[in-house]
Parts: sequence; C-alpha cells; structure tokens
Amino acid sequence: MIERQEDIARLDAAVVLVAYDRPGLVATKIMRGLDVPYTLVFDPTRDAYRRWGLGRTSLFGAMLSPSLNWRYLKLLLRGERFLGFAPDMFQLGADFVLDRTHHVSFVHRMRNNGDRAPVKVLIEELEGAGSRSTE
Amino acid sequence: MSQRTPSPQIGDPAPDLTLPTEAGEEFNLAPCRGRPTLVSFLSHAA
Repeated sequence: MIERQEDIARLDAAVVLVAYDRPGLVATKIMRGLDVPYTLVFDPTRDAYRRWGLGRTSLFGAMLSPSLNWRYLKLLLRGERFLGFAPDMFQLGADFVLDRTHHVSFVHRMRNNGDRAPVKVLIEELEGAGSRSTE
Repeated sequence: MSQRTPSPQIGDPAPDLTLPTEAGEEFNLAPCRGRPTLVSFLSHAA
C-alpha cells in the first residue's frame, strides 16, 4: 500500500491501519521510516477487532499456511529483517472499504495470516467507493 | 471483554472506531466521512 500513495492521494481516500501489536514494532514494520499519510491506530485490548466482527485462526492458519510462509520468504529474499512475533498469533485481520457515507462497500476477511486482499483490488474498490456514493 | 459481534456486511454502516494513535492522540473515524476510506485491521503478519 505504501507504494500506492499517489493513487490514494488521487482518490482523496483515507487509510486507517488498526493494529493490536506493540506500537513501536508495528510502526517499524508498516511504515519502515517513511512519512506516509496513513493513520496508524492501536487496539491492544482488541475491542475494535471484536466490534468489527473479526475472528481468530487455527495454528495452521497462524503459522503453517503455505501462503503465509511464502510471504515471509519473499520478505527475507528482499532483505527485510524479521522483527518478531506479535503477542497473539491467532488474531485475524480484515480490509473494509467504506464509501463516502461510511457504509461498507467491500470487505475481505482473512481466513489465515497469509490471506490479505491484493492492493490492486483495494485501490479499485476505493475508486469505486469514491465515485458511487454521494451524501 | 466484549463479545465478538457479527462482521459488518456490504451495505451496512461502519461501526464506530475510536482508538489512540502511536502519539497517544485519540483518532475517530467520523471526520473521514465524505471520503472513501480503507480500514485495514492487521494480523501479526500485517
């Protein structure tokens, strides 16, 4: 998503990243020292995760899924450093795209820890959400 | 600890989201109304 800042700016979209992990570690992982216009917020108790209906995964989904391990392998091949495990390996995430009236127009709920929506899809959905809705 | 509620479906209004930023300031989603918005809940693998 960081590489798509120009698209985000063109769409005048807001991007909010919600994390439950240690703030400094997440900021390092996500922002990697870049000055990016995304809002990073923290939910250590995971109340927001529950209110948005996000579930948990199994041991396979948390650590053993091929897609997750492929993702880690790609990061290592790019020379990125492993920054440690989160306190809860089983919490799943999701991506919600909201239209201008803040109704859900797209949702991708993770089935395991390697299952994120492709950035290209999120950009397309943001574009659609911005052009479809009026208040 | 609150119970997990059903995940919002397409067409549903977004639930409230008020959380602290890394700087300790309170963030609320409401001022983002009027703009298309991506809310991305991260897992341990981000």
